[in-house]
Amino acid sequence: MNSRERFRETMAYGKPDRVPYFEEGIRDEVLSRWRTQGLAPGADLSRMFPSDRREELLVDLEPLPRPRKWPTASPELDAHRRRLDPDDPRRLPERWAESLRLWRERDHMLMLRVHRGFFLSMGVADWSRFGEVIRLLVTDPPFVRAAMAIQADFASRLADRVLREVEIDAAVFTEPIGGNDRPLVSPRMYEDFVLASYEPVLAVLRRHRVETIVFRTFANSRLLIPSVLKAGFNCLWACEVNIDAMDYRDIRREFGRDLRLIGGIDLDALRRGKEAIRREIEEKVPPLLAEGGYVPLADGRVREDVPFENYVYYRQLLEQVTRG
Amino acid sequence: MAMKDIVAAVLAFDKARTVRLVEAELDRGAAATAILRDGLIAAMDEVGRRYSEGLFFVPEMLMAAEAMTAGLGLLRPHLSVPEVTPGGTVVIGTVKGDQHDIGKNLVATMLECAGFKVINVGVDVAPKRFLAMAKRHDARIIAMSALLTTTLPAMEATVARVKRDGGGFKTLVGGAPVTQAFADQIGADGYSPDAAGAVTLARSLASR
Repeated sequence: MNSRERFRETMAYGKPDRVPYFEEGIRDEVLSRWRTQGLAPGADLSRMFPSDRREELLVDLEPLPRPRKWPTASPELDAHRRRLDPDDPRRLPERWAESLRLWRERDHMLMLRVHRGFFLSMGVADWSRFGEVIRLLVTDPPFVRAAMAIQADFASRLADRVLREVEIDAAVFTEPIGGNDRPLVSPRMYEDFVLASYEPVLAVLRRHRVETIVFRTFANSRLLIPSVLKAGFNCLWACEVNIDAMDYRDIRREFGRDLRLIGGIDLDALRRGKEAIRREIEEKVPPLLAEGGYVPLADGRVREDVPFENYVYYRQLLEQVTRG
Repeated sequence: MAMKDIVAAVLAFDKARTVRLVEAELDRGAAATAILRDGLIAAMDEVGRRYSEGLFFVPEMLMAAEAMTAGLGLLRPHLSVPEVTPGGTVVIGTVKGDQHDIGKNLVATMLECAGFKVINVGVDVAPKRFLAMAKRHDARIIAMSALLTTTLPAMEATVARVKRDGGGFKTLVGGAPVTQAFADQIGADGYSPDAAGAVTLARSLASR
């Protein structure tokens, strides 16, 4: 199987030749440090360990031009809508035609990011705007719904534009909405203001037969999962989590095969050492693999505090455990 | 009855009504300390309870805090500093290498509403700055937040520095990758998984 087939087979609860091994997104600074810890100069991690390339198609989902001040009242939304033109050529990545040609011949997995989530779509980049948006949820709900509807209309039309030209293997909604112990907003509020606005985008994905729809979230969003499943998502990718609250074994027990899973390996174990890595992988990965629909992966980007020897041990053990 | 009305106004996120009721109580001759304790802080204690029980989330917490703060604004001229902030001073920040501040600011808001004076030193705060600010402001507690696993060592270094200094500051830690086990491992005096719990813990630490 090639990487693309492997991913699709895994998500279909089929019989892949092995699980996909995605790269965790290792930055140059990490590689530089690892070169002082034994990584050979010029070494390519994707050749050192079995790897499956995962490409994320990033369209520009932000208002153009970027607003100096985000809207806070309904009369300001018309101007905001004009900043979200799905037909703007700047929305697509550079060298689009060439990319299309390469994608049509690809053997790797291609994922389209279709939404940046509630807070980013409402312009939250600092505490001040965060407080403003939180206040608006309570004091001016129609404004928030209207703003999210504008984002949805834009995102759905942009997704449709892309999907008319390229077939993808998964769509991803990025949703940074988890707090330490729970989501920042209640499930009821999330359904009302956010999930309702996702429906036009989900409808486009259904029309284009996109089979895997990923809810990529951070920290603790556990309470939102039932609502997210009801809305039509079928895959969870939880990053930088509190590992106790978002243990994939518990999540699989609770939600079953309706929810595919990507991730689930505590990144902190890689930092702590081989014994922690061994326990983490041997205890968590086999039961999830047995049921299928799972891509094992560390739950965040590997950073400088993970020693190279720990990373090597993690990759080798993961391969050993997943190949049975 | 009036205090219960103040509590109800805060829980309804009604700033205007909270202010009117506080004003009415002051006009009636009620002690500002009593209005603060039995009206406003009592309301925020109930907010904390509802948050802990999963009835309130961040929007409800912040809106209640705004109503409470509006009422507190009327009381300040009638209160001495220790009366406004009976809990003492907390220095709070996000540790070195970490830029995340939403969780930290939520905790800061709840601590202020619970009667603490909060010195918010921002993000990417080095251990020595935490300590310097705690000394400058005669703090009782140093509260620190981290959202990235890579910045957990900075949290450990800060706690170690505080302990070494011998100034008697209590340390309170939190953040998405932080666990009770980690807090115990680094010798922090307290850990809370949420903002409401942080208030309870801060009160406990401040009284030791």
